[in-house]
Amino acid sequence: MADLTLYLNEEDKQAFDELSDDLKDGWEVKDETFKYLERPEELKMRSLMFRAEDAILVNVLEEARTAKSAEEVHGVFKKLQSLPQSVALEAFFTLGANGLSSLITAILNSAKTDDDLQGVSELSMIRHALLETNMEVSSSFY
Amino acid sequence: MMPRPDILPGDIPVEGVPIFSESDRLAEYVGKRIDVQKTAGAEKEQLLQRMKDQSPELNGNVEKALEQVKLNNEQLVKKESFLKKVLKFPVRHPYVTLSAVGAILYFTGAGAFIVSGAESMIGNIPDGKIRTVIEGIRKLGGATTPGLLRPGGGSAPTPI
Repeated sequence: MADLTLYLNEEDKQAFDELSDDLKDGWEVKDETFKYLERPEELKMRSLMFRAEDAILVNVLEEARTAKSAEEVHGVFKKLQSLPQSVALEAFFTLGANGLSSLITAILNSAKTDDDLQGVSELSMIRHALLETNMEVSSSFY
Repeated sequence: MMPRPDILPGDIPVEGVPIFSESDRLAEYVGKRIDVQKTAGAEKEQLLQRMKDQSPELNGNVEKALEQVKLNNEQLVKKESFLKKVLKFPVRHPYVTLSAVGAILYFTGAGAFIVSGAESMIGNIPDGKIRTVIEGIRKLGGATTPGLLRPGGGSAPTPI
């Protein structure tokens, strides 16, 4: 059974509150209490650490650079649908918690079904883990 | 308590010193028994000398290079800790994959259309989930995090 928990920050909660009562029904909202966003130099380093090794990924990124139409952009996303989970998770690490928050808010703002909220739930768990990691490692280092 | 690495986003990458994607490679570069984060005094001098030996092209940038290596090490520790937590998560929703694709397009700079593409072009993408992801990424702009959206994909060094 799917996890029905959403870890939401203040901005997310405002977007969630705007949803219909029917849609909100059954979802457990937990406060996202971790605040350890990445420093700008951390995000720069992470973007340089990311290695696009997968041959399909490398080719599609080249296609993306010249995409000029809705069809081409759609094709780029569709071709990368089979992105390995480990690469997807590393992408979120590289993007950082602030970027994940922006995605979560955008999905909440357009959510119409429980399935959409399931996507929010999974992304919010990933953000929660990232914020927790930022706090734990920074605290042990400095 | 040690100070945070003293380096600005615009200083990265320091010319001549590699960016490491794996802890083992970084450990090889600095020497296996060195704790990069806590190096001070004679041990620090030893490390700086090793870095000069490993990267002769460093010239006078060795102190800045050390700060970069510390930051690199910190991010490798964070990455490993994060992946250890999340690799066991049952994440399978299409929004997770599409968001990851959006993220990669953003930070590699390959998705310049995200910030520069016309509203009408984005609006014509047939999949609503893709449009939502693009909207989320678009809100990040390119300015809040220097260097993230590298125009035209940039010419960043390949990490090792």
